[in-house]
Order: sequence, then C-alpha cells, then structure tokens
Amino acid sequence: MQEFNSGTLLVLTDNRKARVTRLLGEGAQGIVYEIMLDGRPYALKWYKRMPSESFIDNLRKNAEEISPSERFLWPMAVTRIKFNSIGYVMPLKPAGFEEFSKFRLAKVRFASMRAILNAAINTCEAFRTLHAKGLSFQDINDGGLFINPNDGRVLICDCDNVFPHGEQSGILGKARYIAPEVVMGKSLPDSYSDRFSMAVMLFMFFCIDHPFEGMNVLRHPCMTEEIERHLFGADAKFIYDPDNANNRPVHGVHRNALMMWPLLPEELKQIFISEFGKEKLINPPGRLTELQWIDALSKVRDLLTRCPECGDEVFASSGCKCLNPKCARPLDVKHWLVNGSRRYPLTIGSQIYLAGTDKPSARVLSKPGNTLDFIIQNLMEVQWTVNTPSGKTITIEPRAFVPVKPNLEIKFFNNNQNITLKIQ
Amino acid sequence: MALTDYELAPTARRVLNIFTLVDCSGSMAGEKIAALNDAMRNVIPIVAEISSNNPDAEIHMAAYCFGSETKWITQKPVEASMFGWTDLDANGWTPMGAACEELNNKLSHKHGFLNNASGSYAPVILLLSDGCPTDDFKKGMDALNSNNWFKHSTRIAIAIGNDADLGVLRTFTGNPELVLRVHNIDALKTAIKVVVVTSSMVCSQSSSATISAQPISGGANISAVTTGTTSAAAVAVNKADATAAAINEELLAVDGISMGEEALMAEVDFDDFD
Repeated sequence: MQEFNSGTLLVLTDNRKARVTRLLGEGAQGIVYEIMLDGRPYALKWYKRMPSESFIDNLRKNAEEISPSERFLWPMAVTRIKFNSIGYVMPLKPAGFEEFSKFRLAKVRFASMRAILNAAINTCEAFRTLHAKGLSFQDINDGGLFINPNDGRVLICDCDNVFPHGEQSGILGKARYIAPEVVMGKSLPDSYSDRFSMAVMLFMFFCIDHPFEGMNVLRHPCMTEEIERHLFGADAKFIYDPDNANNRPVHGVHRNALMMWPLLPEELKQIFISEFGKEKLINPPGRLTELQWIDALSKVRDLLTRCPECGDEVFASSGCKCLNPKCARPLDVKHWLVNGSRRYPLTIGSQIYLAGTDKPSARVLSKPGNTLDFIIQNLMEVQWTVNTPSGKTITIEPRAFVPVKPNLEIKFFNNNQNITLKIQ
Repeated sequence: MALTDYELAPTARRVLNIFTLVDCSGSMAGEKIAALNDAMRNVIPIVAEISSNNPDAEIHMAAYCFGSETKWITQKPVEASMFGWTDLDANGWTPMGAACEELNNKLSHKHGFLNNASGSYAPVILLLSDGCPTDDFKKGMDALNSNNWFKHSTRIAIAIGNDADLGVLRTFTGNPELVLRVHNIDALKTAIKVVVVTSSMVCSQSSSATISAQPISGGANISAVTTGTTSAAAVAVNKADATAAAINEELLAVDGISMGEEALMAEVDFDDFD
C-alpha cells in the first residue's frame, strides 16, 4: 500500500485540499497522519485497504452529522479516492490524553480514585449521547479510548465503525470485549452489546485486568480462537462471581485485580457482580443503561472523601479503609448530607460535588477551637437558605458556614432547580 | 497520592512466541546469510516496540539454525527487547527433518518452550530455506503434524531463490498462501521484515471477529444479514489467513517476491509430466 510523504496533497469530497504534514501512528486498519486543512492541523486516518461502499457511505453520513459530544474525535470530512483507498479527517488529540492501552500496560496510571470514577462517568456519558442519537459504536475496545489520567476526561476515537442501532459495520469487535451473545452468534452488535463492552472497559479502569480472565484462562496453555469463543461466550464467568469461585484471579498473574478489587466499595463491587452475572450475560436488555451507570457511579463517587487523619482518599462505605496503605484507617461517618437518593459523608476534609458539577459545592471543616464541631462551607455562588428544626430560617452567603447538626435543611436554587439537602 | 502507592503491574499478558528456523547449509553462505543476519538485526527492535505497546500479548523470540551446526541461538525464547541476534554462519547440509523434530520437542507446555504462567497464543513459526532437505523430512514433519501447538500455529515459509523446494515449504506451512519466494537479496530483507512485523501484529492480538472473513470490506455478507438473516455467524478470523492477507497487502508493490499461487505456478516442471 502507498504511504504518504510530508506534503502529499489530498482532496476532500467537498473539494477542500488537505496537505499531509507527518505520520502520527499506524494501526491494523489504517495509518494516521497529521494534516493541514484550512490553515489548521487535524488528524487523518487513511485505510490500508479500500473499505466497502456501504462502509464509506456510512462514514460520509457520520461526517455530515455533528459529533454527539465533545468527548468524540468525530469524523469531519471524507477524502476522495487516491491510490485506490480513502481516508477521513478528525480533530487532533489534545495534549494530556493517554491511550487506554498504556494504562493497561502500567505505563500511565490514574492519579486518584476520583480520576478513575470521573473517567468511568465520562465514558458512560459519551456513549449515552451516542446511543441517544440512535447510533451504536460496535467496536468498543481498549484501542480507541484516550484518557487524561489526572482528571479523568475522556476522548473516544475510531468512530468510523459507528452505525445506526440495528445496522451493521461488518465488524463484530475485538475478542475479549465482544458481548457473549455476539461471540456465540446469537445476535449482532448493537447498543446492548456496546453496553457489555463498555462495562468490560469500566472494570479495567479500576482493576486493569480483564473481568473474565482468571483461572479459567490459565487452564488453557495455548489460547486458540476456539477457546476464546468459549471463554468469552457460553462459558464466560466473572472472576469475582460470588456463586462460583472457579475463575478467580491467580496470584502472580492477575496481580492488579487482586490488589485493586479489595479497595473498591461494596456499592461498586455489587454493580460489577450484577452486570457480569449469569442473568445479565444471557439477557442483554437487562443490562444497565448508560444513564443508570452514571447514576450508580455518581453515587459511588459521592462516597469518596478525604481521610481526616492523613488527607488521602477514602470511601465512606462499610468495610473500606483509607486508600493510603500506610494509614489504612476506616472512616467514621456520624452525619450525612442527603439529597434524595444521593448521600454525601460529612467528615473533616470532605468536598461535596453535587450532581452535575465539576467544582465542589461545599466542604466540611472543624470549627476553630473545637475539633469535634463540624461546619459546612458554602462554596457555591448562590445563597443558601437553612431551615432549623425549631422553624427558624437563616441565610448563608457564599463562603459562609453552617454547623453540622442533624435535621437542618439547606435549600437553594441552582441550574433552574430548587435543591433541598438534609443533614442526617 | 494514595492510589499511586499501589504498585500496578502491566496487565496479565499472554505470550506470543515467534520461532525462526534458518537453513544454514553451505548454499546459504555469502550474501544470503549476511542479508538474513542484517534483516533480523533490524527487525528485532521493531518487534520489541510492538510488544511493549501491546496490552494483549508480550512477544518472545527464538531462533534455530540448521546446517553443519544445529542450535538455538538462545536457551529459550526471550522477550523481543532482550533478544540479541548472533550472526549465523552457513555451511554443511540441510537437516530440515531434524530441525522439525527439534521444533516438535520444544513445542510443548510441559517439556518445551511454551510454559508461560499467563498462557500463550499459538506461536508464529517462520522457516527460511534455499534448498531441499538432505535428511528425512517426512519423519520430522510427521512428528510436527501430531503436535497440537503446531496445528494451531501460524507458519510462514520464505523460499530463497529458485532452488528452494516449494513443495516441502508448502507442506510445512499447510497453507500455500503463506509460502513466499524471494528472488534477490533486497527482496529477502524486505520479506523478512514484513513477515516478522506483520505476523507479530496480527497474531499478538485477540482476534477481531467480523461477520465475513474480510474486515470492513465484506459487503456481500453484510447485505445478507440486513436482508433478514437472523442468525449471525460470528466468524473469528483465522489468524493464519489474516496473516496471509496482511502480508500480501504489504508486499503487493514489492519487486522480487512472489507469494501463494504465483510462487507455485513458477514451480510447475513440465519435464515431470513426461
């Protein structure tokens, strides 16, 4: 196949001209170049082999659509045929984002548990917007995802296999990421199987290792396509299936899973146990939707706070200890801030991220002179109204404080919503 | 930063072994063996790079030479980045049958090379020769044919020049598409690079399954599905076939290399049909 040199001119279907500036990388399907278009740099994926006509038609359709969200490196334009192949233009990956495969190789790692949870929620949010447009990704795997390890922002590329739900790209996906029903040939990729692949990725965010690769995999010294079809199809078994310990991670091999799983709060473990349980494996429509994932993961993130002793991260969940192995103290939570089904621990050092906010809305400190009296600071730009048990109403300005006392009600108006928080 | 205090390891990766069997008989002496040594030295760092960026597999390499001296270059397969090439010399006969038997001994989980704790992918075996076996090839081949690792492996043969026995190489690969014939020294170097790099990339990944065997360009099968076929045939692409297709693609425009049927066509000897 023809490789491009710097300076090669490519013409887009809308007659704009792009010039190749340098090679960025090479994958199985194609080669990625940096190009200049309209005076600005972009990325270009060039196929090694001419794709089918239906694939190109779909790619052109996608390029005409607006990206479902800023979390995708979405196709922007398709080139004309040159040297018997074709390519498409997409935005360049900004600095600070690392390929997910590097996380799996432990070359890059998340800075904090919060960054992992943010990445998980951002990934769900990306696929929510995609599925909401009636599209399915069909080839979710560790190759097409970039993550900022410090804050958990994500970028999804390889959007050329995105097809309307129910239509086929021709690719079933990468073994080990494909949903069992697709591996077994019972159905074709769709948004349900996307959700399975997404859950596999989310598990890997936390545990690095694969959720279905434990002892069962090691029983086969030579991994063939046929064995892969069994282990990821009819015989797929979650490594932490509570009812069947046959496929547990193995010491010395699945070290990351053995190290990370015990650190997770029960609330999160239960989500994975349920999603990877037999029932959901055979019943794709029963899988959590992205919105349900976002809700569940957000509740787990709400539990994440700071250890009053050492300042490191700790989940306010029974059985959890401070994530700093040298501290490892359990967290004693006496009071919670409750907003409907969302609960935030009120311990010293807690920062409270209310739904839909990137910045903390409140934080908990101890009152100077009396470390046993906790106070909450309003970090929002709006006033709070506090109703006391005796019926008084007190206004709390931004930066001002409320004592942590049971049965106080905090009300405010934000994002066109009346919010009521209760201290328990 | 508490989380970063936990020492994560690269995820459990299976090992892909690449075995290279080199004919070091006298006819290989001179520029053929020199070109081979040079090509192997150049390709090892590329394989090391592929291995270090691959979350699915770690690539290990081993090489065996057969001529007047027969030996493995290293005691056992080693990670590509640690694999140092020792320049091979060429003299003597072509004990290819004995080489097959030796390979058979090593293609074993219990007694051979394939005992990685996290498991292995089926290996890639590359055979390079410029002549005919001078010993009992059939005996060695029979041993290999009963070896399960061999059955699942991806085997590629490079025939160097016109005297190489394509029939033997074809028997070894079990797939005519995976026999290449190179006609000059530059083609030999290119073929070694493309074969080693491509097979490393294709065989070290979990298979990509497609509806047809042809990724993205399987138009006919796709339309069969959309016109009402309800049972999807999940075809995991056979790695040997995928490797053959990818090598073919890479070598399409290279002079001095013929592959598959094209290589066999030239082999037809009219005198044999007298």
